[in-house]
Amino acid sequence: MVLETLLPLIIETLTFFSIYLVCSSSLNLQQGYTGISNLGLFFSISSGAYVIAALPTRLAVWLYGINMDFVYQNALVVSLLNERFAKDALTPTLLLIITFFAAMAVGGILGYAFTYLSLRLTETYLAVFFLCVAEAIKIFGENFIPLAGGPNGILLPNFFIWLGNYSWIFQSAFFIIIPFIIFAVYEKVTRSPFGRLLKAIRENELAVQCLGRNTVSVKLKVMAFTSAFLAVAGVLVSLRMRSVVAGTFDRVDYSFWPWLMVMLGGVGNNLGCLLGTFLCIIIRRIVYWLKFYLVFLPVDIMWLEYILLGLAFMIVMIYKPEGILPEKPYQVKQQGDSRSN
Amino acid sequence: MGTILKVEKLVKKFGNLRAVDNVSFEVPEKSITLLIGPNGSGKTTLLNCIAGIYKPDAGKIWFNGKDITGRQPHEIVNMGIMKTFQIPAVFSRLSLAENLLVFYRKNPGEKLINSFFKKRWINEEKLATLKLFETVQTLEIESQFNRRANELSGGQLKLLEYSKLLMAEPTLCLLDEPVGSINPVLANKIFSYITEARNNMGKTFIIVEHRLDIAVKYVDYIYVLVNGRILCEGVPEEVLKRKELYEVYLSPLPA
Repeated sequence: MVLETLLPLIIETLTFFSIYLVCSSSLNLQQGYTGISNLGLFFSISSGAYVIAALPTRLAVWLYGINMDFVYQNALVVSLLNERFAKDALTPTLLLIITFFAAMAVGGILGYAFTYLSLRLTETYLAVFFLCVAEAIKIFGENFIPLAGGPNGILLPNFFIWLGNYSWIFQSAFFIIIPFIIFAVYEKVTRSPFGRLLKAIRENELAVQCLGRNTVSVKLKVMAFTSAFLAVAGVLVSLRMRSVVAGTFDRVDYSFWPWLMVMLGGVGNNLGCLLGTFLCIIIRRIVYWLKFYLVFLPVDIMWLEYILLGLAFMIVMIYKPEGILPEKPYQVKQQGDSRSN
Repeated sequence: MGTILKVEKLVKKFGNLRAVDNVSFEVPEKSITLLIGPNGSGKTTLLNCIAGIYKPDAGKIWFNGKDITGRQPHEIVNMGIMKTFQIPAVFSRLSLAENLLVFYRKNPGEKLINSFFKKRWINEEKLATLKLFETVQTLEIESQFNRRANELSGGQLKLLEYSKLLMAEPTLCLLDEPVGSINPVLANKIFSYITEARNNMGKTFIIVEHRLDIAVKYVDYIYVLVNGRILCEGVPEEVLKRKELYEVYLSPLPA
């Protein structure tokens, strides 16, 4: 009985955590390691969501020969697609794989392009530039109906429906495993000499150039690479919600929260980022569960989580500005010792 | 001996100020050249133009017969010219060891694609670490090894800046005040390393330095810059006898 109630809750929290882990660790690679201040993280995430909104369902409609418009007859098409997907394992799986690759390509290209446009900007200016770009993309998504249904958004079919009654378990495993693979990739990259070079660029870009490295190319690569993975997070968020509404990919949920997670946990340290994400998600969940018991408070419970996390953030900034788990310089112990993973 | 660097009618302006004004000179291979002059006479600007940090407004720079005018700093470094900074440009939150490993230039693990495969870079990383140990022993900073660069003293930072040359091994080294704020014993030692690098490894040096008492003993040729122009030049013994040098740079001779 207890397990039956608790298990979905744990899995739900864990999927939520995993998806946010991609956002915060990508931001950590951009901001914490390379020093690219990106306040517009959500442009990469929403680009993945737009891809899953616009691409696989249209492909499925075309493949099955359904003569209806996916956006304007959305609910009907989704129910038809769900019926087809229930009997057909291959098509939804293939569509999902195509979606992931397409989302990574779109995310990567957008990340590369916007970074290329902003190469001369640093710190605050760069952060504001990315914020503006991301807001512009959001406004475009909210108003261009063929992309993701405009202001109303669109529903997505269930790509896992062919798995039967336990599809939610597989789905959740999927939502948890992919983010952890991405996290492992980031960990691998940051523990290599490339990660060290990124930190050096963060500290002093001109000095790195004068040591013979093309820092522009490195920064472009980092942004393309992390934006591609952020787009994957966007696909996962949409799959989890089984819908895409452009307006939900906003600066609070997908830029400020990841920033808070990174700052709380420790900038330039993947483990700190993991801890920060975990703490934020747990605090949010606890507040969410307690909402029925806290009716006596003079504030709407919806704002309580913002107040609490804002408070936590201020406390950390005052007493431990480098975060809970600060970045540690790499230690070389003895002659012949080199980096170990 | 061939010419390794040729600068012709180089001009660099900042607004109305001509920081480098029509400077031409040649640097022979395997030589140590000293640039001196009062503060603001354009010595560092000249080095920055050669290293690609500033784009000159006019004039040409040739390195080993190739025109390098206006190239990007990283391209110039990869051709074999490296500049060290007067105010050490190191990576303050990285440890001294990490700093030195970034100075090492040939590591294939610094490519994103290679960073996933440890076996593609681990051998080079081991070589880099060996070189790192050699370097810290040479410069006597072993004890500071795992400390962050922002915890080091001013003199140690200077040594860290100088260690760029030992780790990266450029052909032509542009040193901006390599021994400023370093004790005389170590300063002499650094200059003897420079001489040794010139004699044994065939390196060429262009040095900006105010501590003439130490530098003059080791250099082959001196240029005196005043207001962006070359005032006089020659071998040390000759230049140090010039009257105008005392007027503009060294304190006036007693009557």
